[in-house]
Amino acid sequence: MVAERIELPFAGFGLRPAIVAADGVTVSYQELATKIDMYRARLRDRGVRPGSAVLLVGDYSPESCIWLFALWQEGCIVVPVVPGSGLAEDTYADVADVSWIVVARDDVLRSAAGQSAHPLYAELAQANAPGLVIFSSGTTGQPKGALHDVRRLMSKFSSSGKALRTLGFLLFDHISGIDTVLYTLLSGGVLVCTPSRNPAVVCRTLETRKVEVLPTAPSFLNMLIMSGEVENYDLSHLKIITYGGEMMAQPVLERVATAFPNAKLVQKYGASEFGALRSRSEGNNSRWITFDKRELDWRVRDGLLEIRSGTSMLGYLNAPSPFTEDGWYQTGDRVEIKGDKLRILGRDSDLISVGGQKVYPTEVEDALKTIPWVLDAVVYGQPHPMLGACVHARIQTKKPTAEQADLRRSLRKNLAARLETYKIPQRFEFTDAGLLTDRFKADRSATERKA
Amino acid sequence: MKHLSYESALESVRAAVREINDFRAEGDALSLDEDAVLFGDGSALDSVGLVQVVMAAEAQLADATGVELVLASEAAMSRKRSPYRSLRNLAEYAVEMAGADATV
Repeated sequence: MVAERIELPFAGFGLRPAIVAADGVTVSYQELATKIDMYRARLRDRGVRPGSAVLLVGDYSPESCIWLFALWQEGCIVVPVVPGSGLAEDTYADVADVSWIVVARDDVLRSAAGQSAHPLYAELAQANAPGLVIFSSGTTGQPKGALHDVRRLMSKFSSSGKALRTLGFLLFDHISGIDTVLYTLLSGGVLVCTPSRNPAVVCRTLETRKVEVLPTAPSFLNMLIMSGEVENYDLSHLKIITYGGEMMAQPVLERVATAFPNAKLVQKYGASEFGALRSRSEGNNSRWITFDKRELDWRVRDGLLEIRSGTSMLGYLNAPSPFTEDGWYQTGDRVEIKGDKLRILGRDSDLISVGGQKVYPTEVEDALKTIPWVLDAVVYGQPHPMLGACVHARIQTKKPTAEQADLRRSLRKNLAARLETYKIPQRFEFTDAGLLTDRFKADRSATERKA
Repeated sequence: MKHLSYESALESVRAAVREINDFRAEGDALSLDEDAVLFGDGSALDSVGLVQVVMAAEAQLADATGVELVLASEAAMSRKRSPYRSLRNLAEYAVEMAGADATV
């Protein structure tokens, strides 16, 4: 028998549940293994060759996962995209030059206009390895497609992890979403799909499916606690909450720790370029983390974190390599160090230089979020003729009807006690709507100032 | 937009100064006198402080008139007679900007 491109342990997990679909239908590992073989046969019948780049339109579901593993075992390069991504779908298909498209929900496999041609694809083909393309949602310009060797990505899961019931929450087309699928299914856990990411629906899913792990983002945790839904459900099965993808504000972290006294809170650090890295948090209330030294080397240059990891991507499809000559990836994240621990301060690109003095948006956001009537806050820089840049704050408030001048006065007074004067926002904008992008990241993209 | 009178412009500018005084240390409070030096010789205000006053004034004027005036610009900064010299100058500049806005 010919060795498989990737070894999957699914058949060995037998009749244990693998995936609980959003509608509650459960698929066992045995079924998962059988269906993967069926879909592989389908791919071969249709003439999908190893090395083909395939757009996989899907979200967490048994079908999406079956396609994902079937495509990989056939040596394809999978380009995941969640349904309803609009123009992003065309961009991804175009940049990745996909020659096939799978729409998991509709059970569709059709050919596309691309040629699956790229010098980096050729490197993968040489190694007979399956691929994964993850697009980073950069704040400027075209999204960058990071090509991964799936065997490298999967290598860190080879040591048998704990089998836990995990919610598929982070986006399926993000590196963190793929990470959720891999660490859950490769260790024999249960991947639980949620019908939506609405706080009440998520809480209901956590309760009824007895979910043990919730991998999520700080802004969603903030929204979850603000919604008050946590108290309406029995979430006692929840053992681990992981958060990452953006900065966690210290006051939010403390509220989460209080709201989930029995859960362990773990900060994750990852990026499209090197995958989700394993890390340990110093404690539930702490943002200090340590990385697993076996998984990566890290160093700090000029205050910025650099990483060298075996799980790094091969390169971008549509941008120059970001690696230094000796293989270090410059994350652009400013960090503080304490022994072997580090704390992430924020992306250097988010830094606001007010008359030459540095302001980290997260520091101001943290301070704003300690004010009880501030539900959420996003801080960003805007060009200013006098100072080069000034600090703007968009505030979601419980008091949208109050006089804005009174709100501004109260905020400034509060902040003056905590921050240096130049860090106090010069402009406040109030809203009663949420401040998250559809990808659950704080939206720091500045609204254009009206001329 | 509706006509912005000097009096209402000054009122907005003063409200802005009050807003900023609210969080400045007691000894550092800015004068509400329309002819006191706001930014320049003898003023306690640094550039960050000035931007706070100017942007608070923009916000106050927007609250009062519903129109967003820009009081900090290269053009304003390069004027021979600085619009930031006193509250009177700033209010006059706001009136001028509102007038320019009306002719668009």
